[in-house]
Amino acid sequence: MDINTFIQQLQGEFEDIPAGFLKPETKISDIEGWGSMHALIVIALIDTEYGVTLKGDELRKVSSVQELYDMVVNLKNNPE
Amino acid sequence: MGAFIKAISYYLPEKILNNEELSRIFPEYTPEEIFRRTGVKERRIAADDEIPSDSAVTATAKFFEEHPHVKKEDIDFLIFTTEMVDRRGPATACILQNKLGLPTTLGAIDIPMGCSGFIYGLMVANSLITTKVAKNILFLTGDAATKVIHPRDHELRMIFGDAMAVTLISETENSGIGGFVYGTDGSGAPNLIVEGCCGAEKPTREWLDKYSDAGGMAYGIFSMKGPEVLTFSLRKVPPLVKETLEKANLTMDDIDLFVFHQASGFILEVLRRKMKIPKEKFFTNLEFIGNTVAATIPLALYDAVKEGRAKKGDKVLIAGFGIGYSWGATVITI
Repeated sequence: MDINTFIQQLQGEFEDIPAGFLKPETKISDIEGWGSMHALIVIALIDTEYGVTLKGDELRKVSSVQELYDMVVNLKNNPE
Repeated sequence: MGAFIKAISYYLPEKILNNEELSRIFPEYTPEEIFRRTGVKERRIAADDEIPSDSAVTATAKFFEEHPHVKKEDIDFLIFTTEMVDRRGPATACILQNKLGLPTTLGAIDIPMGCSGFIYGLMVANSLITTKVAKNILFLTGDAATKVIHPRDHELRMIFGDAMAVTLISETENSGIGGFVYGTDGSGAPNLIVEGCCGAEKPTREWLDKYSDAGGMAYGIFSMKGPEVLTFSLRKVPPLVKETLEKANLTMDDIDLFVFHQASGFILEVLRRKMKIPKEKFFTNLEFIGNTVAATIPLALYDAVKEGRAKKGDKVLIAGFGIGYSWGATVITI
């Protein structure tokens, strides 16, 4: 897994985010209209693609796309 | 000697809340977007003066009309499953025995459970029949979740509706209800909860004043942490289904139809994909009903049979999961 693929997967889920907007340093709070539905979509995507089921409060702790990716990698390599 | 589901009927309140009306209340969401997010186009709303026991009376009258061969005097147990009982005492099932004109020789209990309520009630009914305590159990399941949703809570208003189901569970030679797998994790309670009511949080003057523009919200306010509930569902439901199949000595291929608690279109689709259940074996009917809490599974079973998606002799895996957290599942034979 690599962050570029991860970004492409995220981008694929969000029709309302312009292509190329998401970068590793993009702050999640900067995504226009970010809300609980986006959180649901991200949790579902990461569960399907990486077999990691994030909790809502874990997702709330990350600020950037890179941090989110790092957390997924970490949880995938160190399952609970 | 075993038990089986002999008949189901259901009742929906008259008032309809559709996506066009919701979109007028919450202009940031189009009707199409509401449908895309929730899988729901319409939900029914109980009248202001209609509580679940009233719906139970209407639903039961409809049940006996639709099933004239069922005699009231044959009912020897009544189970009422709702999270909105009439009073702290007596049990609403006792009040309903009288209102429904059922024999005084029957046993009557409330099971105040939500999303998993149908499974838990069925588990109790099955136990009562297989231990020869009862022969014909009238099992009423439903709620009026819309009464505890704040009018400004767009997420919950988009998902939930009101309904009441009536299921008759009877004694039979060959059991039509399989073994149960179930579980409870009360640490999840804060993620799906009705706040500001009952013993833990007595209603106060401040509460009523604070929500005076929403009618006081005297029944309490339902709150849901959507992402946490999704995570719970993704973690708990696949193993629940796997264990239920193992207990029944069946494989996924042996199941003719999967009927889950109709939580939301989004959660159901994510679960279906995760468990690789083919669409034709996965029943949903929340498009014109919404999530009706304890009523979703019997409503779905009724519609599945009506639409020919489940036929006599079919094996149907039913699973309830949610508020509690509480979950349970079994395999029934139609």
